[in-house]
Amino acid sequence: MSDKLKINILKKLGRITLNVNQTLPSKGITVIFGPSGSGKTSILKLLSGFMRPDSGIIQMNELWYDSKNKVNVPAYKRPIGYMFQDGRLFPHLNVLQNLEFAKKRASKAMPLDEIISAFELESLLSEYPSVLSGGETRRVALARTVLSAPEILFLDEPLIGLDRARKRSIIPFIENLVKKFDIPCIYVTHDIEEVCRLADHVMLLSSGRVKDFGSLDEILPQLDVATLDTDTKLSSLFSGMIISQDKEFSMINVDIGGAIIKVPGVSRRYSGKKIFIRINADDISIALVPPKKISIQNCIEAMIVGISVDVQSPYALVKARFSDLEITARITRAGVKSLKLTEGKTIYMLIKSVSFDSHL
Amino acid sequence: MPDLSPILLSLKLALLTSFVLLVIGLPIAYALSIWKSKAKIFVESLVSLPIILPPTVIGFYLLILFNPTSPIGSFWINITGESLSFSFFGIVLASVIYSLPFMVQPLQSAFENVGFEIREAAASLRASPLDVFIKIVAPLSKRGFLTASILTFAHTLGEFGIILMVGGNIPGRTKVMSIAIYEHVETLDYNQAHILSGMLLVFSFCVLFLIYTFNRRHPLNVG
Repeated sequence: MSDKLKINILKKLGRITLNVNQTLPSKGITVIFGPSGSGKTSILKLLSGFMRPDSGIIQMNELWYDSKNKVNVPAYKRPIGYMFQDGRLFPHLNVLQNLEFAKKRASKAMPLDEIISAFELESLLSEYPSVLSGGETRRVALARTVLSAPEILFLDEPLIGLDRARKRSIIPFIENLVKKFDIPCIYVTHDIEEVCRLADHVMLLSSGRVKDFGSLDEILPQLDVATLDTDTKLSSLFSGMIISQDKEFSMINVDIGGAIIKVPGVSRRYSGKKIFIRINADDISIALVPPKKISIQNCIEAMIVGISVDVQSPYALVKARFSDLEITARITRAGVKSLKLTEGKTIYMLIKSVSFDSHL
Repeated sequence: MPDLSPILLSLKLALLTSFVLLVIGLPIAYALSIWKSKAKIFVESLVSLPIILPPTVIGFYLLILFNPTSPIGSFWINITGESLSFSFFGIVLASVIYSLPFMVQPLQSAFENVGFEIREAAASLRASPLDVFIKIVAPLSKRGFLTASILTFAHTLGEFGIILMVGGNIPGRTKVMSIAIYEHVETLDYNQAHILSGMLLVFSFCVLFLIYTFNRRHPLNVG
């Protein structure tokens, strides 16, 4: 059984200084989440030995790096697996040869056939990387990494550049890594959907510093607009509970902090199961009285706790509270003015669409 | 019938030089391809010097180094009993220095094209640096090896100035094709000069034609 990964490193990276002092769990998936340029990928490079810290200690069972005692185990001697953004398959080897390259050098024998079938690669074995699709490339790269028998696996935005459908088809394979092969993962991403779907623990990174670390439930309320990257839509996240399903109209009723939200879709999960709800700030309209005769199914009564206006843009962000949860809407500044919205005012938030990410 | 001895000597010199340079140039090219330090520029400039330096300049310095009274020249005489200057080994040594950039530059750019990304991926699968080179970098640099070897061979075949200075014109030892041509022209034996020059012209064109054809047919280091 592998030990926890202890990190205490300092590294100057251009404009920011990476300063991380954190012990990461040796089970499940730990997501490092933060905006572009916050140093996420650099942490993986430092841990794996492709980059050298200015000072500090990295330890998992054995010491990998210690600036005081001049220890610096080279990358190829660290018991790690690394899944790169673009897969990085060897172009002169076919899929099977790529897999065998890893297996031959692994510290313990790995079941090749079992891994080939786990990642559904049977039909691709004789193909060369140049003809594989993005999704296939990721699957081969994942399988190759598993075959190298790593004690810990680093995944650097492994789903970047894939469309939503492809992403969703690869995610179960990543979940498999942890469940079937019992490899702890450090997973770097700035995609909130991947966080909700995969994370057991989350490390929030901002400008090279750990802003917070904890289980997904603990960190979730902080994953608000402030930490989000520009290419992730502004959204509010809630952890809710399925209370019933309306099979006739394919809707799920979810309780979030006392408010019931109707979510389109059918869940295979039972009532009482936890579910993550995401509401985009752009999908919320605001009314001062509860509207009637309207197609929108979800309406939450809430109290405004903050309005931030950017005079450079036509939009304003309205933050409101219901129960003890906060939700953010983005409406036009003109709308704020015509409804005379102010802090403390009670409003009705009409939610046009809701998406959910289930966590297994 | 032309005198075959300069042709054979040229081929022997070019083959030996290419082989020696493959052994010496490969580690230099690989080190330069992965080196990040500032000293890299210094070494790169040094390796490329023979491209722009007049052959007479290199020849002059080598002549001084090879002189039996110099440390290198006297060392050579002590172990072989022969002088380095005006010997076949002398012109091999001179060719190795003169053709060094023609081996190192194509290899270095081929290695650089493989990229650190692929090398990192191999290292993350526990391949040692030597393992990475043999199994990943070298096979992906096939084209670079071919280009470098052919260019070195052809360039050595066409050498003139350095050989004349370091080796002189000794039949069977240092009188290679280019020197023989020079001598034929000096003695107004244009027939013989035509034959040897024509051979070098056709050969050089074929070499370049082959390299360009090969590069076009295999635009990527794939498969």
